[in-house]
Amino acid sequence: MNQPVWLLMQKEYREIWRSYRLIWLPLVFILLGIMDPLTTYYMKDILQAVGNIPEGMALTFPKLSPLEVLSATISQFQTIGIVIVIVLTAMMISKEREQGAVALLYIRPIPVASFIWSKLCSMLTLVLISVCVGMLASTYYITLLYGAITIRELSIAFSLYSIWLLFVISFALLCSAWCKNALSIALSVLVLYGGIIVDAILGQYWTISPWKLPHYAVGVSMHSVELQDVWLSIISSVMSSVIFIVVAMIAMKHKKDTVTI
Amino acid sequence: MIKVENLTKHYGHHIAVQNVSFTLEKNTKTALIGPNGAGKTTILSMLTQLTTATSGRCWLPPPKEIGFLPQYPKFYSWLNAEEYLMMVAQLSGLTKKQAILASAKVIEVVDLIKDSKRKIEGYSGGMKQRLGIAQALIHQPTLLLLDEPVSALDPIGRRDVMNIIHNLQDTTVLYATHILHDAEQVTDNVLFIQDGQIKEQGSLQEVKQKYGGKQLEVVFYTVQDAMQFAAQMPSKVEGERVLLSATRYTMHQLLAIAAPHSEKIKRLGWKEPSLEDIFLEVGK
Repeated sequence: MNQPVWLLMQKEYREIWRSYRLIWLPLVFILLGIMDPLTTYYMKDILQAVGNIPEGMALTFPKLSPLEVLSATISQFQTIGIVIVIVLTAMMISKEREQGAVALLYIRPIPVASFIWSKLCSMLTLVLISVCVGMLASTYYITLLYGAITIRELSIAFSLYSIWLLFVISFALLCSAWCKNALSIALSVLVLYGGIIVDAILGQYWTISPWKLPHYAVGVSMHSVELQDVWLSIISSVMSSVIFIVVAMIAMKHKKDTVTI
Repeated sequence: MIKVENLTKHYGHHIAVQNVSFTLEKNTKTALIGPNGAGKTTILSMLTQLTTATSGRCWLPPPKEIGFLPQYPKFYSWLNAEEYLMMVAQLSGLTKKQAILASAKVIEVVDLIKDSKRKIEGYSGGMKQRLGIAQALIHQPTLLLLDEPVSALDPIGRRDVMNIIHNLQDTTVLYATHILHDAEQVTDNVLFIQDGQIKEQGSLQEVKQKYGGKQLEVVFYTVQDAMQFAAQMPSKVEGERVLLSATRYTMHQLLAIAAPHSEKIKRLGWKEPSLEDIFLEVGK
């Protein structure tokens, strides 16, 4: 691997380890991952324990398939989990620039691409590990309470969700390279999380979009989506990510002036 | 040789630096002197390419041969000094083996051996400044740019850092400062800057010569005595001090003139204008 990228990645990994991110972010995703299988399964007991249910009222819940519960787990990731990922990524470059530590690296002969790659790879590693353990924790309870999920189904879900995460991280990195810290966070949350809300409300009118991938992650195994739409959504996500990364490199080069010294 | 020609930087309507030109001969030490806000940091950040110049040209060594210490160096606080220096050394083009040797050497030079494995977040201001110098020196740069390298240090720290600068052999040094006493100890050349423009430049001796050169100084007990004495010959009076040009009078002549006033004289001797005198003169 290119030496500056590797050296910068070592710095990033040390931060991830020493700031305990490698512990608390997977814990967040594990918590989100087990929440739906458990609460859905024990909902009747929970409601009865809470009380205030009129006597004689019959509580009936639909029987969910394992894949439907996995889909609900991904929806959980799409709430708090994704906001944490967006905020962490959106601060990566802008915060470093505002605090000034990067000034002593900018003066060295390091290609701008190395900075972006090191940030992208380290964040992607952290987030994919977190999501992976979150999904595995979810799968454990789904298998225990609802029935088995095959490795193939789990792999498809994880792969498609990973492409969505690549899209999210690339866009947040672009914002971080382009804007000041507060603006970077605001813009990333607005576009990415705003897109999730828009897709939830109006998503029935289109079938190809990066925001569809979390839904398709389980939809493919449930045969409820067109494969062509999935592929086109994958292609659009990957291509957008490449464009975001290239523009982030250009932005970073032009924003050297804004570093605090 | 480092050459800067008509370097200019505008921030909107504000002119931070205007038409600054100078040349630094190889392996010389030059002090960039000026009051706060004069444009010293802007010049250094343009030379390091952290700031883009509005206009002008520079002939500089390649980035891997430049070392830079900002006024308030910031670091990745979760790393320790050894890890940080290993990283910057390799990012400056050294191999891993070279980086190990170089970091051990600079850690010793800046006296951080005891704390080299401690996280930087626990360092004091002075320790951070010394680490800043270490990172600037680790790749043996041919051009070293220092922005107020001793302003955050106590007297012992200042002395240590000035000794480090003084002992640098194969490096061209440009350091911005307003601590003139320290600058005078190590500098070969001076650049006086005010309001973004170079007001004076040259070797220390040239500039001192221009601003009075070597002078004979007679200090009296009272101002009246000094004025009475000064009225007898071309001289300059500063309170109880009378300054006479060393090119006009020899010490022998001065002693003869001063002899009748000996009971009124506190002391007499040679005096050179200090950088502070010149700084105040240039600033008028």
